[in-house]
Amino acid sequence: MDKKRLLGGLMASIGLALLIGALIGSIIGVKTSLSFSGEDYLGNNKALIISLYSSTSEGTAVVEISNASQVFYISNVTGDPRSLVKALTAFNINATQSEYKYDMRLGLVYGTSKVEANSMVLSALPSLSKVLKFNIKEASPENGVFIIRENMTSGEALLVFALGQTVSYNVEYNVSNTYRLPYSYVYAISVAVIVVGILVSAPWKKTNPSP
Amino acid sequence: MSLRRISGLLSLDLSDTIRPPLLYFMVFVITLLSVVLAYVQLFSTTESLAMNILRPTLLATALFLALRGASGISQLISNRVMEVYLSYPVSRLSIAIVLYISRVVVPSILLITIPLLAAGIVLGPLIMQEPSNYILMGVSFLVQALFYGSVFILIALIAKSTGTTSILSLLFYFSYNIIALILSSVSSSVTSTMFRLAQAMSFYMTVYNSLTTNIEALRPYLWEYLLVPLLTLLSALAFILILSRRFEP
Repeated sequence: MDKKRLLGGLMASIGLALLIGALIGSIIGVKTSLSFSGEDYLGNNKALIISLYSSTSEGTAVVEISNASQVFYISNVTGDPRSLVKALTAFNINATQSEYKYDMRLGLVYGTSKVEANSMVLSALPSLSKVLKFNIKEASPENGVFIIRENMTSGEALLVFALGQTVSYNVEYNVSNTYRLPYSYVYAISVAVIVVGILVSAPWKKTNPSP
Repeated sequence: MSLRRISGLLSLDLSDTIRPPLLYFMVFVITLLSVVLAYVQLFSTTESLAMNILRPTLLATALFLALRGASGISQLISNRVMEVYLSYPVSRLSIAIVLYISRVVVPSILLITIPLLAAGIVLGPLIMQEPSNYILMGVSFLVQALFYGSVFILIALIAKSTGTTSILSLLFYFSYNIIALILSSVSSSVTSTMFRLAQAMSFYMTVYNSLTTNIEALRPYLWEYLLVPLLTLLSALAFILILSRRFEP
């Protein structure tokens, strides 16, 4: 086995893949922010849960809620919010309508659930903190708008419960760090790997010194 | 002298296992996909990066180990090349170890390390934060690949036919993973023994859970860490012992 040729071929393959991968990456790229808003009519005995789950990214979430009578939130809890919402059925808080999206380029699961429960149970959510082993906090309004700002690390979820007849919300999520090497560095490394690979595998012939 | 003969045999067998151009093509494809994945998805922990990059790579590695590594052993037996190998003036134990390294260890290291390295270049600033966790995740995937490879070459030694080896190896791979999926689906909670067994069947899941969970009840038990490495050791030893003591070509 020609070890040099094998090593050179491997290096050239890796370098080429790195170069093409970086080119594709520069075209597609990642997302660094997201914002969505909406207005939901809830009626009686219902609440809206707005969930964000930073599955692989980290960033800052800002949730603004208006027209709500009360707003509670659970922050820095690990796990998928869809499972957490399901876990609430143990307290007769049942999800009637859920809509979640997973944005791979943002590393974020986000969405809303409408839940139905006795209004007494919903209003007493913070008292369930000990039973649920989550710290459920109550938000206070500023000029009628509830603002929740949380720094989220990878694997953490934020669940915001909004109670009211018609609730309006605006959610923003900004990624704090993408941890990427600049494209120019990756291009330079991949070209260097290709060149070294070609040089290693090239059949260098020893020339005899002229007599 | 004996060492030189052993390295000569290793070099000879490796030239069959990792012969180009298939190896180049395979390395190119898995590296390209890993780099693209690293670029189009945001990662903020080294564990989630390694998990997302290496899970698809592990499938490709298992296929390579079954179709090139294990089937290659069957081909050596059916083509009577194994008889030539066994006639080398080195012990059968050395030949068995050489075949294990050439057919399982080297391809596994190559196919797991290269995409990990490429993704590590792209996300260099992230890797520099926790290089030990990234390496640990890589090692855990390597152990899982070695487990599949060890079982596959054991199958090859018993089946002695290229086609049967390929089919039985792939059947084992899919059955093993589907059993793990069924166990996790029917388990009552994430702390039940059935769920823990399902997780422990994938060594990288055990390592991932131990590195990422901050809930004491979800931390893996000692037996979960030992399951796959012990199965790997047992199947590798079974291959080496059968080939060195009982094997008749």
